[in-house]
Amino acid sequence: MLSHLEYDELEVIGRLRFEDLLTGGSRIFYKTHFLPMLLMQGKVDEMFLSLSSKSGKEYPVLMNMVLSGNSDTPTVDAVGLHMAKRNKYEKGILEAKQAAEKALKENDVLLKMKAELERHQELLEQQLRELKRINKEHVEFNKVLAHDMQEPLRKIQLFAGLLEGKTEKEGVGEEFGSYLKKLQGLSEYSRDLLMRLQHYHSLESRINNFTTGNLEEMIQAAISKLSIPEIQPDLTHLRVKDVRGDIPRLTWVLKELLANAYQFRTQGKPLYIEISSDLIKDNYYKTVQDAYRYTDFIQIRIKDNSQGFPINDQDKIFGLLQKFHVGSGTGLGLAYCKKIVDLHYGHILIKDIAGGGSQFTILLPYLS
Amino acid sequence: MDVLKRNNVNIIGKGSQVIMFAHGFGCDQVMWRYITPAFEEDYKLVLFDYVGCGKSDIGQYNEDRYGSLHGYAQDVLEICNTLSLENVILVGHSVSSMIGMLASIQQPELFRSLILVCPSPCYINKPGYTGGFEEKDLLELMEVMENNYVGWASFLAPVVMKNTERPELVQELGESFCSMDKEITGNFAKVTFFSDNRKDLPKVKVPSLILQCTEDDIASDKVGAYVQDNLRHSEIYHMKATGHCPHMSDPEETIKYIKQYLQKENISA
Repeated sequence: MLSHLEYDELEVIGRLRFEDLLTGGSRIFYKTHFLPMLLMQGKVDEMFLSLSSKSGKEYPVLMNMVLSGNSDTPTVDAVGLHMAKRNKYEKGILEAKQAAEKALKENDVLLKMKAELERHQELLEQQLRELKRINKEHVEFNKVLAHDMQEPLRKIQLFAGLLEGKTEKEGVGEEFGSYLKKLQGLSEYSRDLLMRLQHYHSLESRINNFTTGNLEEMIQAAISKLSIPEIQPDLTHLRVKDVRGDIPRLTWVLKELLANAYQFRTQGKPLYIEISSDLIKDNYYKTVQDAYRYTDFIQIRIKDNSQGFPINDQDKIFGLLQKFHVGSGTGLGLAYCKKIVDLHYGHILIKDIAGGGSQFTILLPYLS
Repeated sequence: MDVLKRNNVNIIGKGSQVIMFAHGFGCDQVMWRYITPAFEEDYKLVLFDYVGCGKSDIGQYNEDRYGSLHGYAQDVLEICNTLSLENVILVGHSVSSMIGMLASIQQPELFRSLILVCPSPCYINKPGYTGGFEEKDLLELMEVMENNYVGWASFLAPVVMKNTERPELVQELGESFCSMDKEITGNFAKVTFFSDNRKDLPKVKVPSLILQCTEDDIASDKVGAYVQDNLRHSEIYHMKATGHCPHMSDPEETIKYIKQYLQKENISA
């Protein structure tokens, strides 16, 4: 065998390892597959490997190996059979088989794709129709929110005001007056809420054209809008700064999240906020099942040492009109944030940090 | 979909600190058999097979998903999230070092540290970088694999016919160790050996340990040093063990170094 490999004994014994005699490809497979098998089960049968002669000629062999000796000095007994002719024959069949399989697979793939395409087209038709219907409803609903529902409330306030003027003049009891005040307060609150809801509801029609912004500048803009001296986030971990989208609205999201951290800061602890950003790969398809395309996303994380949220349900935290802390705003802020991020085909998640604090993660498709 | 069944997840051990073991290309979770007993008493050990290896559910194989190492990283993350694992110490062999790093880039908060056994971010030589292999070697690898997995008995047509019904891929793999599906393994080899993840190394935030073997032809000293230079919080231990599979060829030394690292990082059971 040595002569076939163009070595003499002195060049091999004690100088070369078995794997040194293998071709590159055989070496990888031997070391990642056969050797582990040999080590774990003590033997391997019928390994096909290619040895390489000194001048680089291939020498295909079929080998069996058995682990023997003791644990201190393990040895491997191996027998092999040169199989050049058989290998040539096998190669021929393999090539034919591969060609046949490839053709068949391609044909198969094409047929499947055609069926899939038809199915998708049908689905698309249904979804477009559904979308059209929802859109129409959306517009009508918006009109109701903006006018039809505002009007009666405005009138309630008007009449309550008239009533108030009258009662003041004629001096009806204090109790009566306080009920009137409550009535006025409630209708004012409802009107305000209605206006915000309408604003939230019609957000998609007001989203600006996408441009590219600088994350650090956006954060600075958000900070200066808030002008709360305690909000001084640590920005040393901003590793990616290009953001594509409706920059003013995304800046608003940052502002809202920073304000959130401040509002729910832990009493007696200096507020600490860290904003970091990284480029990560994630599956672009989040709704289509069994579809995978790993693309770049910018991942923005806002971590603070605030009180955190009392529940861990994402849907609830970002849901409409959810309030988790007494006296906190209208319960629309986080829903708004989520809607803005969704309109960018991104994701927003929140997670409590062990030991106090919360972390918002925003994923946005990177510059696409 | 049942992630635990898909990846044949096995949980053993009496402790609470999690150590997750991820096998490399060409094998399955059984490769950790000599290592796990040393940690069973004090840790919770999570073992699994990638889809297409060992006793995983081959029916869940998706060429697009697993056509990228990110798809494999998704498996790791899904297992962690399904089991609500936290503070995970991930021990990854060979390609699983890279898969573990990718998973940690995506969700760093899940991981406490990475133990990278014989890692390489890129197996092919590139300008200014010695990965150890040329494209030609990898094409040879594909050929050797083909030669080892020919279904000779069913050659004359049935093999081809069978492949047309492949979408379910329901065929059972043999019971033996390291059994694998030919086609899936071919794809896994391609994605393993043709991937270039050098740019991802600086993105890893989780501290890591590199276990570098002597005379490792798959991941050389040079490659190990490259990995260490490009990982922010990493250290490297040079092992006496030779080859590419120290956890099988020299489990004692492997266990010793893992324990030494855990102690140094103050990770107690």
